[in-house]
Amino acid sequence: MSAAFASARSLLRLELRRSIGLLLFPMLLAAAWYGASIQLHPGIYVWLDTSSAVRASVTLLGALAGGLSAWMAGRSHRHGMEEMLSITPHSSVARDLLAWAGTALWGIAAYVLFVAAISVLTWRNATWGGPLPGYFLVGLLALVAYSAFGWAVGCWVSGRFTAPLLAVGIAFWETSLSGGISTTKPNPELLSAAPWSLMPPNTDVFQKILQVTAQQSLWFLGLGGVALTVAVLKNGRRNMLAWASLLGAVAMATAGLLSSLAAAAPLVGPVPVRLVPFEPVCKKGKITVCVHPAYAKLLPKTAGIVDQVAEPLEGIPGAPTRAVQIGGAYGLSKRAGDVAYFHLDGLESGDEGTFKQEVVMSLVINDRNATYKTQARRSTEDLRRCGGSVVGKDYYTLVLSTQAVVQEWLAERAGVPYGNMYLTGACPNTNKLVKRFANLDPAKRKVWLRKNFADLRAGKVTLKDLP
Amino acid sequence: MRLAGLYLRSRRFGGAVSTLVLVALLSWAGTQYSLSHGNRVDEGALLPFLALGAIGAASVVGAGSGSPFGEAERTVSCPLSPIRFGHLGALLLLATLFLSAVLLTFDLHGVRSSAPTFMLLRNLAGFGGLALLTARVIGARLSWMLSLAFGIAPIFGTLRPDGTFPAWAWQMQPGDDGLSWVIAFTLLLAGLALICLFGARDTSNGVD
Repeated sequence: MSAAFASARSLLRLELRRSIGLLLFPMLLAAAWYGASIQLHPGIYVWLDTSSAVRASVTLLGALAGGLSAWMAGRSHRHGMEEMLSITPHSSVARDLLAWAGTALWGIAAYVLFVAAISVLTWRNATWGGPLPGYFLVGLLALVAYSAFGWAVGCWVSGRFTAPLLAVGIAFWETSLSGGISTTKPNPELLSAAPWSLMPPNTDVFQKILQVTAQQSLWFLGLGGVALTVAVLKNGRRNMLAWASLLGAVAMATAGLLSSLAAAAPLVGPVPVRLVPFEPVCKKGKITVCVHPAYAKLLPKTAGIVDQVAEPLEGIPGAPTRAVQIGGAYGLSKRAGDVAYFHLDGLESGDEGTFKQEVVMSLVINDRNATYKTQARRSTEDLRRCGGSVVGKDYYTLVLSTQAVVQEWLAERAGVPYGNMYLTGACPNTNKLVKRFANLDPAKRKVWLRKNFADLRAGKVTLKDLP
Repeated sequence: MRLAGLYLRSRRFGGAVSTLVLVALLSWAGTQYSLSHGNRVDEGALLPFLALGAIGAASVVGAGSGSPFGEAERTVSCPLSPIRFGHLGALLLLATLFLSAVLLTFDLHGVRSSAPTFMLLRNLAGFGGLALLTARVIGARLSWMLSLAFGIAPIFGTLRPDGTFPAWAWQMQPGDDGLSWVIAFTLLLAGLALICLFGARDTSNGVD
């Protein structure tokens, strides 16, 4: 037994050395890093994002590993070495599996090394939550499965176009087709519930995520098992054990698929979004700014920008005294009128302009997400009143013309390029009014804001009321 | 003429054309499925097709550039560059025709514009160039790796909050973005020039 093990180990060592994976290991490592890092924001470490990005990196790494395996599977055939290999003392099954392992292990090594590195980085910098080890495991199993799949295809079809076609096919499948379980009203949680989906869930730290790690693991284990058995069957070992293995692997993949659908079933339809409880971290300044604890490291920068933007409204009755971060899901819940809201997506990406625009908008408009229909009707009426052009029946903005004037003034003060905000120019004289408002005597402007800002936020001030 | 015919046979030209048809058909099927099951039914929904369809076709062009003869081929008395150019040009042209035909079949709720066609042409040029450059550096059989690795990641990772992509993700830029065209055609010209002059890297005694 030990002699057989030692022999297998030495054969594996040989396969590792003769595999193209050795030469391309740096590229595999770079691909894993690139595939994940492109989804992360530099300098911001959130465990959910890291875990999702690690799993999603297999979209790229899996395609490369699958293509490489397909290419390696046909190499002995291309070089006319099959007969020579057949006289070696190992069984053809062990030889094939070890040859596959010799390629797959390079991809696995790149993945593990990359996971270790990014985990250490996140562990040192994250301020909330913990890793999702299930995501790491699913990524690993998916990588193994795609590599086995590539090997099986390469065993059956060993042409020069097999490897690229297969690699692109896997990539296309993962990026375009495996978008999750489709429903007429998709719940964001369902987008990552399909057993084959490696894409990041369409959720954030505010929302609970449906975990289907066990089901996905079963699926990928089954897929890998099917692929390897099919490869073994190609090379002549068509005994009962091989057929039984194939049957077992198919059963495993089917179990993964069905159990995943069963887990997702309760979430299909109009199910309320499940929120994760948390205690926000806040910083007091001219306005109190609160963010999710996962983004605590962004708080000083966020508070600084919000303070700068909201500075002219300090002490104005009706102006928000708090600004609070919201996520996609959290944003759906009802908002309080005296609070300004913002997402951190723009700031995470280094896009301060977008972030400032959102803060300005939230400062000037009260409860802007309440009902889009009402806003659409009001803004359309507002545009017609001021002589602006209404483009189609579905056209509307969230900002009324008077709010737009104050908004533009605030935005310009905060350094957002003039004219970038919504609605500028929609009313014919908005630009003139903005300039006039900006050139007002500061004391007069403050008096007007004190008197009218609460009504302005509620959309009750008309252009005629402007000073 | 006979030399050209033999050259094309040695590059499995027929297989390459069949594979290009297969790429086009798979792209069509995948994108139809994506359009019918996704939330978007506009030109943005075609982005994966415009990138991955082009990568698939470019990979076939790259893989088709390899020589099975190695040194023996380089000893022929007539220049190989024009034949190589004709071969690669024909493959690129056919890839363009097949994928453009597929593009015309997509129903975007009656909206028709030339932007996706321009994006497709640009991406095919860029990824084709990248595949040919890789074929020169590491060999034709692995020439798909770089274009695939570089090509797909921006699809799901680099969209800015304002809905645009960074300049380096040239394959995701709108069809009228000048810089992306310059990058794509520079890659194509460099790849074509290298392969036409020197051929793909001979890997018969190396990693193949």
